[in-house]
Order: sequence, then structure tokens, then C-alpha cells
Amino acid sequence: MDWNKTKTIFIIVFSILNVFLYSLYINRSLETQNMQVMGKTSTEESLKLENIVVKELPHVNKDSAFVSAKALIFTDEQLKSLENQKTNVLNGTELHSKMKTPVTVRNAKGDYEFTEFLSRYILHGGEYILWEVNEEEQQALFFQQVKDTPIYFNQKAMLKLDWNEEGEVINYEQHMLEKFVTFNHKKDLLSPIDALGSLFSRGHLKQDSKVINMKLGYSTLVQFTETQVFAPTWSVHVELKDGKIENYFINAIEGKVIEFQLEKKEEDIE
Amino acid sequence: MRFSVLASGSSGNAIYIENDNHAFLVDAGFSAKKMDSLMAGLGRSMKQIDGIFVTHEHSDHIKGIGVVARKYGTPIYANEKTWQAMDSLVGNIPLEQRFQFDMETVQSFGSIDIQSFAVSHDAVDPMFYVFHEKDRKLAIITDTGYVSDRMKGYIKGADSFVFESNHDVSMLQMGRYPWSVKRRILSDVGHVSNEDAAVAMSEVVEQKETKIYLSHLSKDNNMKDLARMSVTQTLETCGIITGEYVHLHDTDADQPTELVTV
Repeated sequence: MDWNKTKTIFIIVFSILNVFLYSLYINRSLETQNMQVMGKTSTEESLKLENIVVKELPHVNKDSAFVSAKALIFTDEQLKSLENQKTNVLNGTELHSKMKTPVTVRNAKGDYEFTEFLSRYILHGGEYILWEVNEEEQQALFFQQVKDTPIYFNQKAMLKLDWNEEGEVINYEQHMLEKFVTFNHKKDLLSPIDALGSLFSRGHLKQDSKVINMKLGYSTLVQFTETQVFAPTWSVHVELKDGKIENYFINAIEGKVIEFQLEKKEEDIE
Repeated sequence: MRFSVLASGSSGNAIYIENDNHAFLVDAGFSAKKMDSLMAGLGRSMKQIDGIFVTHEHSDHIKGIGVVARKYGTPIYANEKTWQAMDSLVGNIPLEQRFQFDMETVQSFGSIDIQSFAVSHDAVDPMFYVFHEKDRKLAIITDTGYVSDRMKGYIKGADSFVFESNHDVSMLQMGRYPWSVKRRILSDVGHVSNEDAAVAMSEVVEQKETKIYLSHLSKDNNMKDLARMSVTQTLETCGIITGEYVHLHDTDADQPTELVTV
């Protein structure tokens, strides 16, 4: 037997086999990569197929922390500093104020301008951000912010202004949180597109709608007697085909859609 | 008697107890390499361990048992059913290192008496331990769906507690776990929530200096700050102000707590 020849044949055969196996390996890994790419774009593709337009996705940090806070107890000193108002505090934390002389919040063009009113007449007014103006009810709803991040629909972090036919604020109700503590424990945030994917997969995003704004805020996770803990939350404003606006809230860590249920007062229930 | 929670959480659990003559572990839920490094973090060595007391056969409590036993010749103590359940999981442990520690019994090692008691968990025969030395008492209780009056009887009046504070119910409900897992955790054979743990604590602490180590925190459904806050507030509603004589301490999933006197 010619061992040299046999050796050469073995080398050639195994080299060919190696090349073949390597090409198989390359093909498999390319297929996997392609599948991953498809997976990454699937939410965008799904939205496209349903003609759901996303105006602009916000840029945010990849992680975020939970925060806790306590309800502010209004002091006599704070109340004394309020100008042109008659105040009444319930349970120490719910401030009802009546303007002695109504103050206009409507400008010459007929638009509502709240900045000056907030800074002049509301305790820590600069911490609140407008959420909604209800023309019919003549009422505006504001949410308190922590580090420029709104706390969505929390009874203890809201401000409601009421005005008369002339667009003059006649009274308001204020709640406020204080002693904010940021938890050390940071968690990965759901990206805006994943948050939309979460909404879409649960059937909340309707065909031909437009996502007009997404903003990161906080919502109540746990409520203790004195303290509340807040979780990062995405708010998503969606314009429907008929022009109607819908708002959705998604826990920005877990992706669960949140439905806020504000405590109703007795008269509302009746 | 001194102790340190080497690490505690869903991914592994081990507690170190020593006096001048003996050194023990309750569970070894990490690889032998990790156990070595945790012990080194405390300035101690696995070679010094006189015995490991196993609570139940779940992997986060026994992961390192087999290798540690073979590598260091450490005696392992568990009840009969737990031995049977973990036999295939820990590999071959020489007969002379296998010891039986029956449920609700006491074994003495020098001046330390170790008492076992049953808990309610989805393992074959789960039990935890109370360490007594002279008038000092360390109670370890994790992995239980609830704390019964019988369990409270065993742990009552301890000077130090290693107490499960597994999850926050809202976080668990908000989380991504499948419903079946959520149901298991919340069940009577699952784990104790922050609030339930605090209510149980309020019934077992006595009016004396007491350390409570909040342990076995869920990685996904709890946070140190939240557990501490929740336990503090619940204890307050039960009339116990933390910081006065009850002192809460965190444990970590990855590093040992300071070695302290019970």
C-alpha cells in the first residue's frame, strides 16, 4: 500500500469536508442574523402594515430608577404666602383655594396662558405641567413633575384650576408630593418602539392612527400609608383617523398597559 | 456567635454562622468557586466549615453542596426526604459525610444548639433553623409561603433574624411572569411578600435590640429600597418604629453582609 498517496487523499478529502462544514456554518449563522434583523424590525413593519404613523420617537437613557415621595402637608406659613386667595386645607394635604379677585388666564388671542398664574399664585407652581384643558368644564388639569418628569394621574400630585365664562380662574385644588428619593436599583427601560410594540400587540393601536407624542413619566406602583413608590411610565398620545386623541400609559419596565382609575368623589359617583 | 448572609436571592442562598470553635453554613446555593469567593470576601475559608445545614432541595440552596462536600470533606446535614430529593442533584457524597437532621429536632455542636422547624414551601420537606448559644438566638426563615403561629413560636424573641422579604405584590402583579408562576409565588407554598413578612416580624420581635436581615429578595419583583420601605411602614402600622430597637439590614444577591454578633 502506498501510504504517501493514502495520506494525501485523506488530507484532500478532509480539507474538502472542512470547507463544506464551514460553508454550512456560515450559512446557518447568516440565517440566524437575518432572523434577528427581521425580529428587530417587526414592530415597525407591523405598524407600517396597519398604516400607523409614528411622528418621532424620543431619545431616552437606557435605564431608569424608581422614585418614592411623601404627600406634602401644607403649613400655615405656606398658606399665608399665597396672594389674593382664601384657602381651606383638608387632611393637611388637599388645598382648596378661592381667588378673592378672579385672575384671567386667557390672552388677547383667546388662548390659555397658565405660566404666569402658576408662578404667581400657586405654591411651587413651576413644578406642575399642563396635561389637559377641558373647555366644556372650564377646567385645566396639571401634573406635578419630578426632575422635569410628570407623575401621571396621581391624586397626590395634581393641580386643578377652574375658571369662569370670562376665562378668569376662580378657584383651584392642589395636591403636592415632596421628599423625593431615587432608588439605587436601576432597571432597563423599555425603548419607545418596544413600548409601542407592547401597545400594538394588545390591540390598542388602531389602523390609520398617528402616534403624535411619547413622553416618559412616572405612575404609582405601590402606595403605602405615607409614602408612594413610582415606576417609570411611557405616555403615548395617539391621533385616531377621525381626529380624536387617545392617551395610553405603559409601565416602562414591564410593558404592561396601565389604566388609571382616579378616586371618584361622592358627588361624581351619584 | 456571629453570622453573615453570604448572599441571598433567587439565584442562590448561603448563610455563614460561627463562634470561636465552630463554623457552619445554612445552604450552599452557589457553585463551589463562588462559595470560595464569598467566604474569602468575609476573610474565611470553606476549609473551616464544620457542617452545612440544608433547608430544602431547590437549586438556589444546594447548587454547591456536592462539589464543596467532595472538595473539602464537609459534613452535610439534611432531613431524610430532602436527602432523597437532592441525591441525584448533588452527585456522590461519601457516606461518612452524610448526616440526618430530622425535622423539629435539636442537634448540639459545642455550645451551639441548632433547632430545625418546618416551613411551608413547595419542596419535599423544607425546614429552616434557629441557632441558640447561651441566651442569644439567631432565627433563619426564608422560602415559606406564610409564617404560621407554629413557625412564629420557634423564631419568637430572636436577637437576629434572617427573614424572607421576597416580593412586592404590586410589582409581581405588574411583572412579566406567567400567571402560573405568579400564583405559585403568592400561594401558601410560595414566598412571603414584604408586607406579610413585616406583619409576621411584628409578632415575633420582642422589645430588645433586634437585627432583621431582609433576605431572599426577588430580582424581578422587589428592590432593596422598596423592601425596606415596605417593611418599615408595615412595622410602623403595627406599632414598631424601626431604628429604635429594631434595625433593618439589607442583604445582597452577590456579596456578603458584614460579620456581626447575633
